[in-house]
Amino acid sequence: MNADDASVRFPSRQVPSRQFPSRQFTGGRSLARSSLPAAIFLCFVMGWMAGCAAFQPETPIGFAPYEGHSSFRAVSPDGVMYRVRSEKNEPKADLPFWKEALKKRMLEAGYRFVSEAEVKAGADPGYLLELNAPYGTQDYSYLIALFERNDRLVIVESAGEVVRFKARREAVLAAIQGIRF
Amino acid sequence: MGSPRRVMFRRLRPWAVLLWMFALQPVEANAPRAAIRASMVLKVSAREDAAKALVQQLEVLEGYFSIRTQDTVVARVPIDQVKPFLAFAETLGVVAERSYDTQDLGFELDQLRSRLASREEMLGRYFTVLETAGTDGVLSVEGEISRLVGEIEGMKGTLQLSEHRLAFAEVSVSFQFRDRAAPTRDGRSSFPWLNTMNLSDLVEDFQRER
Repeated sequence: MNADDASVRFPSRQVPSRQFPSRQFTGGRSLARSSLPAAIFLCFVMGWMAGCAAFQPETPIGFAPYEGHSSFRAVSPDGVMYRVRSEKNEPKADLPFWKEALKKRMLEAGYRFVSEAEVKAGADPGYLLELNAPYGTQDYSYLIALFERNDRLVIVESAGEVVRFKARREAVLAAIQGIRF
Repeated sequence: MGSPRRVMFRRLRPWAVLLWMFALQPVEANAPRAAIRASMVLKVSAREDAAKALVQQLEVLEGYFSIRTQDTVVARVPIDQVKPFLAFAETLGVVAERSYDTQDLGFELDQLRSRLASREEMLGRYFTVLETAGTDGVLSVEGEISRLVGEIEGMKGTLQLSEHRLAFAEVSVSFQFRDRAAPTRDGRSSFPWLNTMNLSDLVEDFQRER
């Protein structure tokens, strides 16, 4: 055998057939045609699930949860709101970075600073920022908790009229501490 | 050239002022030199009841209120009773905001007292001059005396006001935020998710749900 006989290419140059000879699985033909949209849809669903799976929320005691949303939402009978959602950690930064950015942004926007503290959801450290602001004719408390987990930021927001919120604050804090990632 | 008595007085004047300041120092050493101004936004269920309770407590603490409206009570509280008063106010509701400022009035008061002393001394000298002044000089000296008296009265008023500010702190208790401007919701942050952090958006999100 000389060097010219050695082939580095498939000897057969025939393109694989798009014809599916199987009669039992007739869907195979259409699968090949619609593979791109299906893949896109699959990616979308997986991405959405990844977003949802960033946290496992807990409903604060005395609150009723809404269902069927990408973010978790619950409300108390007296109108105190509780929402948990996740956002892409973009640009990728750690919790101290986002603590500073969040506080700066909220104070510059005109919110009144009440307190800040560290908070833990299980063993995961987070940042708790409490603010006040006038809303219409009432004054509202606005609590924000922030967790950085892998490529996601988990954001907890809770708000309500100051006096009503005060009565629900412990339940809200307990629910934040009960979030699992 | 003035009389020997006037020359001596001129030479002594700076020393007199210094002596006066040093003489005053031990008396003022223990006196408060910082004015206190505190404010609190207190959320209560019944504003009228809370305002009444605050006024009653003021009477107990030997203070008084300078302004009382539906939304605010501005109290003047003896300086050593400020903390008990604030602690009492906190029991009436939920504190939404508080601030506590002190302003050192010591230097301002020292300056004012010094200027007042020199004006009074000058006034005394004018009266001396008045006794010996001729007909032409009397009118101008009297004009200077009346100007100086007005200046001294003004200074005394300012001094009394400052001393009152030292003795009584101003504590303002509001039942809602005075500044009703809502926080901005513009997207000025360069981090997109931060622009979604907004109380009004949160409330509207839930209102849509209802």
